[in-house]
Amino acid sequence: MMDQLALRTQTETGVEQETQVSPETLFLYVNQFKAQGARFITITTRDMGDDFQVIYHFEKDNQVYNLYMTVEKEKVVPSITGLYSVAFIAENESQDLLGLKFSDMNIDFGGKMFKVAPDVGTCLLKMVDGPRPPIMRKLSKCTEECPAMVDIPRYIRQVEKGDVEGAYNTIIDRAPLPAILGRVCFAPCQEGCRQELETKPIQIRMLKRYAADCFKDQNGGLLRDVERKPSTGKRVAVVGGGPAGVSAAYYLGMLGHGVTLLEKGKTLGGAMLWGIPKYRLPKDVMKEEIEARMTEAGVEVKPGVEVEDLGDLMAEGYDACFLAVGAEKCNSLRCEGEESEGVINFIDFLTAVNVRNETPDVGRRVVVIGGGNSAMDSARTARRLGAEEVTVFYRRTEDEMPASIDEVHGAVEEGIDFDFLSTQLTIHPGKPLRIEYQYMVPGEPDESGRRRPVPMEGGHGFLEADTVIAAIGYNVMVPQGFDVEVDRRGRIVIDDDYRTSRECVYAGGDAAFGTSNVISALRDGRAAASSIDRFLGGEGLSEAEPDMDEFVQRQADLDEIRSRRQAKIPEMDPVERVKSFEEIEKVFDRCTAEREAGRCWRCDWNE
Amino acid sequence: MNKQVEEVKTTVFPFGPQHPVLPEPIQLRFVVEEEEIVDVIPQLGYVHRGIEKAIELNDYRRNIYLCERICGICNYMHGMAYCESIEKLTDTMVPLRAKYLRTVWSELGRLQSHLLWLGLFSEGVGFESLFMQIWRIREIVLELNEATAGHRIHLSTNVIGGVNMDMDEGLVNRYYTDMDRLRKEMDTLAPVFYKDKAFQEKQVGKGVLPKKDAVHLGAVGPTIRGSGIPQDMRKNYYEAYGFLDFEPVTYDGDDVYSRTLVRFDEVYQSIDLIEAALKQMPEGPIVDKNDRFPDGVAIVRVEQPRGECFYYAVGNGTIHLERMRIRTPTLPNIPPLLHMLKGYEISDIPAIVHSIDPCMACAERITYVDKGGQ
Repeated sequence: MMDQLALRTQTETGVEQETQVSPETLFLYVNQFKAQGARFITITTRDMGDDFQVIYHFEKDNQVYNLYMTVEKEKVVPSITGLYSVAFIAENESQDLLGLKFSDMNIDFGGKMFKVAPDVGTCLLKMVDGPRPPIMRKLSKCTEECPAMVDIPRYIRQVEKGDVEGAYNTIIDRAPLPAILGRVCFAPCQEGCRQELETKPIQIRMLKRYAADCFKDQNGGLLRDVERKPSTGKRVAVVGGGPAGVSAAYYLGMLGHGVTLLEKGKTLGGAMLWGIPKYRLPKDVMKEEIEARMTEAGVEVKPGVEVEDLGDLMAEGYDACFLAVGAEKCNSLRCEGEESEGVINFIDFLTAVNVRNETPDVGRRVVVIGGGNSAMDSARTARRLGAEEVTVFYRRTEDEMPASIDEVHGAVEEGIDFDFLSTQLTIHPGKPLRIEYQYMVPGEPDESGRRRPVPMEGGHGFLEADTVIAAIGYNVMVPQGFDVEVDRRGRIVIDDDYRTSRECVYAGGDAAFGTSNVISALRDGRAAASSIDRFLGGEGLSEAEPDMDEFVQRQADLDEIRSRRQAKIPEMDPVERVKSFEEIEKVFDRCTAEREAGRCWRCDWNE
Repeated sequence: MNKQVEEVKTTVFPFGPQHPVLPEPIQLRFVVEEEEIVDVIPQLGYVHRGIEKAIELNDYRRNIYLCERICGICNYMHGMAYCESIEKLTDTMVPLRAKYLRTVWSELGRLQSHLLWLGLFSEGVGFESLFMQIWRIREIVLELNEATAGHRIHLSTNVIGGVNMDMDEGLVNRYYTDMDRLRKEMDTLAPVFYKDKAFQEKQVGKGVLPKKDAVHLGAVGPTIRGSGIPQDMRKNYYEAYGFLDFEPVTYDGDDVYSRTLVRFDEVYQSIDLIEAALKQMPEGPIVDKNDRFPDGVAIVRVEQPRGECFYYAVGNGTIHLERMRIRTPTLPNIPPLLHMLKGYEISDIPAIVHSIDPCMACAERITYVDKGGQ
């Protein structure tokens, strides 16, 4: 009897062991339990007012082990179903009935476990040590819209979790200049965002900028510590230091090729350097990011080298060559008096201001002719140079203007006038210049689908201006010595693999596609690099959809997310900003950025 | 949908919530390729009653009756586990005689539960007369219940600190004779369970749950013992189990048949335990009352007919408990069930689903949801 009594007392003591954990250290302990062969019992969730207390019960050698975790009600708790798949019932209970949110559950009833719902997702119970589930992602609309197919939902999630380095790397996987894109990209992704229908798309571009700027702060610079592939011994020449050239040089360098980048100017950047005003893209940011990429990829940069003849270049022993010479020939105004003093083209004008840091005297009244982004840039630059009356002449209507809405909006805010449906006839020389112009009316649609303007009878007028800036587009001009086939508009003819008519020579960017934008040029550079790599015997870069292996989960509370407002871009006041070339947009603060990123509906979640 | 799903022709058919094979409502949606089960989607929530929240709102002394109604079959053990948790929170020492009585009545509950299951299962695999025979035998236990406390199912003899009903000499003798009768009746049915080819055909090699998976998936009770793991909460020696000599029944077949035999053998084990406990039972008081309010945290684990039942109670020194968490054995057996079903055919579903002895009413007591009176 005494033995039995001893037995009894022994078992009544020491049944529980308690450990306090946090969401960060949870996996450490659960992993330990799993390694020791402990059995999962259940999860108890206690509502403590402001917090939830989550208690994980495990059993090992007939003892109960409790992990106590206190989390705020808004916080999302990592699911342990990756380690103990059986926990899905207990986690779904807590999520469904108490509102505790779990992330990355392997079976998520979507809050419908205990409501008799018509539909729940699949419930394939994974083997504990088995393979991962099938593809859980699909291509989201924003990624589809992006020319470079940047994995947007993923970096938005990384920003939300505070992993800016991860976000920066995710972007670079497809487009190597996030800090620049975050400032100047025209963000087609935001038009693709499904929340665009509610007129509040995610501020994807600003989140990209936040990731880049925040990474810079954390890292002390944009230079990352990355490893290149082992050297292949091949040499590639890249002609042109614009976005397409930089992108190609970066990816080729990362693939292990010896790359030489030849740029005719002193600084890399191409159209980003001369074409984008400093108030949108500070030149030090641009230089730093390009330099960082070139250093990472081990690219030999040769500024001040103008390539006239490809034969000479190839004779230096390069295995392949990529042409990204851009488009720098201005279209002419095609009107009388365009040679007069005081009439300048926008490339000369912007280059003087942006590259040479000059402040040309534009006088009091400036007329800008054209309706594209470069016209807006010219007008806004002229305003900052002291012009009091800046008028933009465009021969079609406002709706047909190719300039982006944000740019036009910014110009209007800064007090720039627009004269739509007016075209220049003659510029009478003198001081001031007198512009004779003609009112137009929209006529029949032309091949581009826009209505061709026709002159209005009796609609003449005169306007005086100190300076006239011609900004009616620019074209490609390839040097004769390249000896590659060009089409009737001067663009280099390439096939689907970016090959030109000449062997071992590839081309991309504006030189091959006509004037376009930064993100498309980066896409061209990457695709051409991949093509060149395959030509040189490599495997190329992945051109398929972005990595689909990541496990994506629906957002925990869509109703709450839907009610959130779109974050406002912090901007300088229009009155202040025309006084200098200081950057207009400011970066999001951390709280705003993470909240904005949390607004994402995760359209890449494959139900 | 992704491509992988589109390529294969699958059919989804619902099983339950109302189905002749299912004793209680759960819906399992089977994704089948021709006859083979490739995926199972459980849908719970048909008998959800919010008992955990109700416990927090009640006077803690009244919760015994509420807990007894978590499950009709394991009613006695739920009441007992609740009392044990409160006794831990109030530092009450239960008298030894009460412990023995609780042990006897727990085993009586296990007997009627296992006999009920053996009958239902026999019917599920097509042995209707066996079902009748077993339920006839079960009457012995139910009549014993009635003789003890006046009810055929609910004994309801638990109070905090002990039991509220004692057994006299005559009743103890009746227990002995009835247990003897029960054993003899079981002996007549034993050949069917151990030897009948047709009975085995339906079960051997079906719903295999290997030892490793059983542990990982957290199976409990006869389900895990049927995979050869001697896991039994009674070996934690709560109540009077520490004074009794027994070993958990295990079978190594990992299949439905092993789980059937575990339960069949446990009927004999329970009879033995009742007889042994009645022999050892000392004289003395049956209840120790005190007026303390529950304070602190307590965990109680008891072995119910379906497996380990887990009670987690938090008291704060008032008449109400702050949190009560009850995890009944059916809940951890659902993931193993989903795992077991995969790869078998539609005709195997009744036997496999039955083999975990699903009791949805216990599984779904979780929490009371009050969303503006909805």
